[in-house]
This record gives sequence, C-alpha cells and structure tokens, in this order.
Amino acid sequence: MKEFNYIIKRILQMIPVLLVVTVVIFAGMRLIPGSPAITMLGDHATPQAVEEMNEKLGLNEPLIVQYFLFLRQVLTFDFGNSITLNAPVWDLFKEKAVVTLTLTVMTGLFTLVISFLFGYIGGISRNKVVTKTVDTAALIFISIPEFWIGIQLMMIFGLKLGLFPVGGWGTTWGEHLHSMVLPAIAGGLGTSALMIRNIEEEILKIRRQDYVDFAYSKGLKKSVVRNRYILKNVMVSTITLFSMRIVYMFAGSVVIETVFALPGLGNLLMQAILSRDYSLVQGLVYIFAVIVLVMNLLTDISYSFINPRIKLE
Amino acid sequence: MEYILSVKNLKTDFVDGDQVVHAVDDVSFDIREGETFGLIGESGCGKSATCRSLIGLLKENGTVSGGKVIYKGQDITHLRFGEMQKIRGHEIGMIFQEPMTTLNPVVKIGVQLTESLPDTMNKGEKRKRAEELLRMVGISDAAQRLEAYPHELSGGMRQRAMIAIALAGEPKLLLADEPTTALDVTIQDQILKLLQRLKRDLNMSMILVTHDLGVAAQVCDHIAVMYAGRIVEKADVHTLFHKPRNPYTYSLMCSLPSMVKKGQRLEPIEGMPPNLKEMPAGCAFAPRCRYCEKICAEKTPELEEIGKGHYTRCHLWKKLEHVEGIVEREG
Ligand SMILES: Nc1ncnc2c1ncn2[C@@H]1O[C@H](COP(=O)(O)OP(=O)(O)OP(=O)(O)O)[C@@H](O)[C@H]1O
Ligand code: SF4
Ligand SMILES: [Mg+2]
Repeated sequence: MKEFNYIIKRILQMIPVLLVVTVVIFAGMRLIPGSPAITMLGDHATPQAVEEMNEKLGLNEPLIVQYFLFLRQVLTFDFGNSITLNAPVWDLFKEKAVVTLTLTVMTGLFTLVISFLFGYIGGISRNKVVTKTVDTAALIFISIPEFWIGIQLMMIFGLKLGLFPVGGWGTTWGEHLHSMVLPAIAGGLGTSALMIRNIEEEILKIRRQDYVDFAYSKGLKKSVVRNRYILKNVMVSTITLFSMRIVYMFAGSVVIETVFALPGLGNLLMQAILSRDYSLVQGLVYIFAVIVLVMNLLTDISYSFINPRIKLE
Repeated sequence: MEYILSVKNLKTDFVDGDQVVHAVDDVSFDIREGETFGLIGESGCGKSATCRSLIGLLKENGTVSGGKVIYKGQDITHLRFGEMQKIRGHEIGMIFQEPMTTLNPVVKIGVQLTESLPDTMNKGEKRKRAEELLRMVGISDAAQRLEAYPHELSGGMRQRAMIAIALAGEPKLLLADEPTTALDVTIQDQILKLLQRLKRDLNMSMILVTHDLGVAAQVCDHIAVMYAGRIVEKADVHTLFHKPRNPYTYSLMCSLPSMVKKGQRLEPIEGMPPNLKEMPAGCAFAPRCRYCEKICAEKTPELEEIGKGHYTRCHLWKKLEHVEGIVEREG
C-alpha cells in the first residue's frame, strides 16, 4: 500500500515537470531559425505559396493559441500528423521505437557484461599489473567520445574486415541484432569504462569490510564470499550509476543512430529537426521526456527491490 | 594434548604508510579445554589484532610475522586457504567487535545463518536449525527474524544474531571480541550471561576480549593483561585479582569503581597508552607508572614467571608484593 502511494505521488510529481517540458520544447522549436513552409517548399517558393502553407500548418495563429493546441495534443497523446512524412507522429514513433529500444537494451547488456567482468577482475585481483592495466584502459575509454569510437569500429570491423554491416538495420531479427553489435559497443564503451572504475573502487572498499572477514571466519568457501558478500554489495552500490547511464544511453541514441544510419528515434528526430517538422519534433521530444521520467521512476522502484535498506516513501 | 590452543611468541605487524607497527609483540598463552580465557587491556593494546591473527583474518595491511598458533596439536599459523576454512567456523569461531558492521547488509539473517550449516542438511532442516539457533540466543520471534535484514534489527539483536551465526558451525573455541562493549548496560549483562550459558551447554572454550575488569573477574578462568601489543601480566583469575604484580594491572584495578574495596580511593590511570609508531625505549608503561625508576626507561622488562603460572613484565614487581585482595569477586 505504501509502495502504491509512493508511485502515485511520483506520477503526480511528473505533471509540473512535463508542463515545463512542453514550454521548453515549444519555445525551442520557434527559436530555431528557418520556417517550415520554406524548408518544405524550397527556397524559390512564391510568397503566396508560403502563406498558404503557413495557413495550412496553423502557423498563422497567435503563438499562444499554437501552444495550447500543442498542449491539447500532449494531453490526449495524439500528436497529430507529421507535416513532412504525412503520417501520424504516434505511428512513426512506434515504428522507430523498436530500433532505439533494441539498441538501448543491447548497449545496456554489453555494458553490464563488460563492466562487471573487468571491474570484478580489476577489483578482486591481488596482481598489481592486472589492476593497473584494467584501470588505465578504463581511463582511456572514459575520455574518448562515442562517435569517434563508432567511426573507428565501423572502419575496422565493418569496412576493412567486413564482419558487420556499416549502416542500416536489415530486415530480419538476425540482421537486426547483427547490425546492432558495433553500435552497442560504441555506445557502451564509455559507460563500461566509467562503471569498471566504479566497481573496482567499490570492491576494494567492500573487501575491507568487517562482514567479509566475518564471512571468512564462518568457514565459507571463497566463491560464496565473493558472490554473496562482495558481488551482491557491489551490485547494490553500482545499480544507481547504471540506471542513470541507461537513461543517458537512451537519450544518447541520437548520436549513435546517426553514425550508424540506424532508422531509430534518434535518426527520426534529427530528420524532423532538419526539416523543421514542428509537430514531429514536439511530439518526439515530449515522448522522450515522458520515457526518461518513467525510466527514472522505474529505477527508483527497482532500487528498493535490490537494496533492502531503501524503502519507498 | 592438554591445551586446545597454544599461542607461542605471536608477532603481528601492520604496514601503516611507510612505517611498520608491531601491534602484537611476542604474545604467548595457552587455553585449556573448556575454560574462558580473558584478554584485557585498554583500547589499542592489540586485543583484536591478536584474535584476528589466531584465525588469519587480519586486514590487508597486516601479517603474522612470527610465532605459532597451535590448535589441538596442529600448527595453523600459515595454513592454505582451503585448510584454514575447515578450521574457521567449525573449530574456531569468532564474534567480531562491532555488531553494526559485521553482518552483510544486503542478505537476510536467515541466509547468513544457514550458509554455514553442513551441506548434509536439507533446506527444511537448515531452516529449523536456524530458528533453533536464534531462539538459543534469546531471539523469540525466530521465524520472522530469519526473513529480516540486519538494518531491521537493533544493536542488541544484531549482536545476538551474530553470536547465533558464529555458533552455527558449532565451533569448539569461540573468540569473543568485546561482545558487549557496543551495547547498553542492561543488554551487556544479558549477552554475557548468554555467552556463559552457551559455553557450558555447547561445551566450548572461549577467549573473551574485554577492557572491563569487572566482566573479566566474573567470567574468566585465566587472564592475560595486554599493554602496547605485549602481555604484561598473566595468571589465573584468582591470583591476578588478589596478587596483581604488575603496576599496569594494578592501575587498571584502581581505576574501576566496582573493583576497589570500600574506603579505597578511585584513581584513573593518567595519560594514554603509547603510540605504537613511536614506542619509548625501555618499559612501555614507564611514562604512566608511579613505580617507575631509572632502569625502567633504559631496559625493556622481560616477561618473567614469579609464581606457578603467574607471569609479569616489570623490573620492580617486588614493590607490589604488599598488594593483595583489592577485589571482591562475585559468584
Ligand atoms: N589495519 C590496521 N592498520 C594499521 N594499524 C592497525 C590496524 N589494525 C590495528 N592497528 C593498530 O594496532 C593496534 C592494536 O589494535 P587493536 O584493534 O588490536 O586494538 P584493541 O586492543 O582491539 O583495541 P579496542 O579496545 O579499541 O578494540 C592499534 O594501535 C592500532 O592502531
Ligand atoms: S618496569 Fe618500571 S615502568 Fe614498567 S611497569 Fe614496572 S615499574 Fe612501571
Ligand atoms: Mg578491539
């Protein structure tokens, strides 16, 4: 019951945040120079044609009216049609969301596996060379931008070795997953490096705790102490960072999708912005915002499952 | 094989920055089967370091650099990990000093209890045994407590749970490192009584670490008094409290209200134990000792047997020969 109240409270708290988001999106769109009508009709369009287009798009209404029209769309979750693609925004979103979702999940999985594997090795190893190597490698990857890693991966494994497609996401699920490998690595390496450092530090800290000594004093096997004592506590203290980064990965898909020409939400958003497709941009950004907020809520709820010391209140 | 545990010239060092600290220095004692052996002394004198050394659980910067620990005739000082795990928990168990940090915060009490039970038991049997252990340490709603996380228990409950967990492997020797200091007075008494009862019922031997002489007088059979990493006096409890022959032991007694006979003045020990990083030459207690003479600052006293099983580390112990019977021992 307490949990239920908590969730309701959190959802209610989202409302003002989302209102602010609508204002920011709306204002942001109008501040970008260039007009949708001219972008659509080309530079040589007659003023009359432009005027007709503006009328059709509702851009001749006062700004305040335009804003409330947008707000009504938001409230009904019906974002109208994309002007340039001639399809409902919601349908476009659903179509592209699969790609972005797959990318985010794969990036997240890659990050989890890599960071726990190497963070654990680096943290648990008593060999200084091992720890130093893992540490240095992690430090390097933290400072390299994703798009650069993406381009390098594409050149080496895509172009030179021909192991992975260099763009697009194919037609079957097999092709989909195959084409996601390089993007997932590119999008996940930075976060992995960050988490490796974090996990290493946590392990060093946890290894010194009395409860680990107590565990050994009970005569437990090394594997039990490592899994149930060290790893479990590391997970609890790392889940916060990871969930923050998952949100970041979702939002950061714009960059990776552009580099790898993946037909996802990021790509769609870029296209929409370039073509001044007001309704599409507004709708997409708003949905992004809702997703990010919901993800934050979900991670907060998941903490309370993973970390028994946290209560939802 | 008279002794269950023999500690011979144990030395433990910690690396602290670029210095080496001798936290345990040439410590020897023997524990008879079934007895309670007291390790007493002020904070920082090496009691915990001694206990941890016995089962090889020093923090990463510590090593046992000399001496031997012999358990039931077997030298366990530098055992391989696998061999040591057979001793830990099942032969020698340990209750750690700080109940608030000794339980795994993200694992239920029940799991922490059952994990050291033998694999020959099935799940149901383990659960039953776990409940039994909790009831044994005085936790009444055992079934519910098995499902609790450490943070849901009070300090006293955690201490009890820790004792139950340490006893799950049915150790023959229990190292109890200040099992009561972290608790408030009424609970201290309960835990102490509990430990005495368990020791008797389970036929264990016990090392009881404490800085409370009253507690030591009540429950111990033999006592070693430590100061700055060394044993300064060692005897059976009767001898120690009736014929203290070391100024440090005597000062400890005089500083305790419950220890002093009526009419005698209460005198806290002035000053602090020396910093182990800058140990003075000669006797470590010299700066605080009221019997101190020239020789004390020049020569380090050796531990010397002055009566049967009564050892003291003091050049001038004869000065204390008149001292006797300052303690009223209860029970
Ligand atoms: N990990 C460590 N690193 C450096 N020095 C240490 C370490 N552990 C203990 N020491 C030093 O060793 C000495 C003995 O410490 P120990 O914990 O054994 O004392 P204690 O007698 O148990 O005291 P207390 O009553 O406070 O528990 C102390 O002076 C302490 O500074
Ligand atoms: S040797 Fe000297 S200083 Fe040390 S305890 Fe004895 S009398 Fe005191
Ligand atoms: Mg201690």
